[in-house]
Amino acid sequence: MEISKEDVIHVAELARVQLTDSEATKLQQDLSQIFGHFKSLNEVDTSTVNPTIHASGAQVVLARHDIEKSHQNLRQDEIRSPLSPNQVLLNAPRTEDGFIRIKGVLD
Amino acid sequence: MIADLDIGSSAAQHATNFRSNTYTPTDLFKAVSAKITVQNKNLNAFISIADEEALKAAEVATQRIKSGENGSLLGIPIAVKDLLNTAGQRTTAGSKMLENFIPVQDSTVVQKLKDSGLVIVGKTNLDEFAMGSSNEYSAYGPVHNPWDLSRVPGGSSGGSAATVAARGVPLSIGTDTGGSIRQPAALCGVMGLKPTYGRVSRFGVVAFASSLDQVGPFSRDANDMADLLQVIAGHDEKDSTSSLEPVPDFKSTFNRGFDGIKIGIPSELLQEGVEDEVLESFEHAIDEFESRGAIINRDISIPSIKAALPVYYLIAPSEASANLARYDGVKYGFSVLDGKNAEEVMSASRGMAFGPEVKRRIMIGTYALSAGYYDAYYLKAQKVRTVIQQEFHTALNEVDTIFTPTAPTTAFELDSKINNPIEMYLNDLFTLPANIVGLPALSTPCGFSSDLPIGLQMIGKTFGEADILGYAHAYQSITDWHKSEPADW
Repeated sequence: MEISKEDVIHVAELARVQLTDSEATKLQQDLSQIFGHFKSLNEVDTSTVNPTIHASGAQVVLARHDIEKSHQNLRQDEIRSPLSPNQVLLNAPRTEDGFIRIKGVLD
Repeated sequence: MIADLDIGSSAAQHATNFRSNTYTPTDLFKAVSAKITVQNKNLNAFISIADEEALKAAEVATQRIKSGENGSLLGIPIAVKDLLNTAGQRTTAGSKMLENFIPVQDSTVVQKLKDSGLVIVGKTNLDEFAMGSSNEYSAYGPVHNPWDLSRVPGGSSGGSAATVAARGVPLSIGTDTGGSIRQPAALCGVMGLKPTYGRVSRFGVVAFASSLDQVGPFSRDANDMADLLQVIAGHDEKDSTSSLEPVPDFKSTFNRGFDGIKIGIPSELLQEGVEDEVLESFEHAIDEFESRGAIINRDISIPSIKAALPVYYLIAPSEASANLARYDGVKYGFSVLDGKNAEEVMSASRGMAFGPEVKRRIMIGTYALSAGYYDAYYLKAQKVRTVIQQEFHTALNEVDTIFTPTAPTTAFELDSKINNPIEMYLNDLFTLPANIVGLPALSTPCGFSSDLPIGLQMIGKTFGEADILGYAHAYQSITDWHKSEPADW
């Protein structure tokens, strides 16, 4: 399967990963080769199965009726102390007056 | 140095020696700390080695033992993969992206280790964000295999495997998304276990592929491994995917012996790409079981097993591309700081701080999830995953456990596969299925080829960790492979 360099550059933009030209060239080769191997998935008949959502079959709790059905021990709805602002900002690259400072979102 | 202090003893032996007052956890910690510091010059197994805080933990454990407290692992030194958050101690995930990241909370597993009095002696090296099978993708340099420094230790938990193999620590913690505990265990000649998905909390573990990731133990024998799994297993309200399944006594199976164990061998898997010496050791291990009363079934079939590799290499990168979206150069992690706008800062930060394999997987995942390709790739892979699960569960209705070699080869030379991602991915052929199906699986040493260790993989039923630990314990009672240690460490 041939993936073009333009495809690679487009996907890199979607993923917000800046690539050098040589990285893009290498990834074009790698992705073409790797996606070529994925074709073998079509040899497996999946017409009668659902996609997997949890590896060991636990229930997903989405709504009240799910909670009643499930054996999940949901914790009590009570207030607990969250991380402090200082803790949250501890690893931020740039802060100012208790906020994270970033470059403009709009040009 | 205390005369009777053998750093290379098992955790159980250290615990006995603590109680007989031969030496204390503080003595042991000091000896271990000195040993792993020296070893690190050659092995590069640790990204950081703890000092003051660990010493304090060792002193507290010493006091707890003096006051008569029980606890099989109280005061035992342990190494933790640098993918698990440690409050106040740098956690890098093997990436430049997190080179200065100081977590404010412990991961649940680390919290449990501390509560049980284990002494965390350092954070171990790994492939960046746990993506790799050779530990060559770490931003902190490759780990070397203690059996042969020119070879890889396996990955991604290469540091955790190498330090246990080199008798630096008796126990360590790794994570396993597609074999990242079992494959390095095999290549380094130690034991490694990936628990059932949901058995151990993932809270505070840097996420790679959330439907596949599990935390698990390394040790040198089944007894120590059962003790460590006992400490870390169990439901955690901070991880909604952790299971409410009761945690059994993981040694309850240790008197089971061999008689009547039904062992399945999926012949499809052994057809190609496995080194002859690996197959010979594997078959020899099977003979040991059979001659003592186990029943070998070579007719079990997992017809879709060959799809496991493409399924994994679609699902894991897809989930990774979503999980790694959080590294944006804004909230935490590496940032170039300056650029035209926020988006440019983000792209440049990610471009500079992520290494080649992480970029490759983000690209695979983003492509597979992008408009027009979702059904053909990600959704199809999740459906084939269901088929593989059904086939495994059918097979495990007929047998108690499935045995395979852990890895198709012994440890390979550094740099030999780094430029060929497909060949690198083939290392995971035998280990991926347990992650895809969520089953527990362990690797235990079963032989050598040219002085390099070989691993035997035992795959169990869902939540059947105690069973496979029992089989491994039985095997270790009749063989000495797990006792072999590399020279000169």
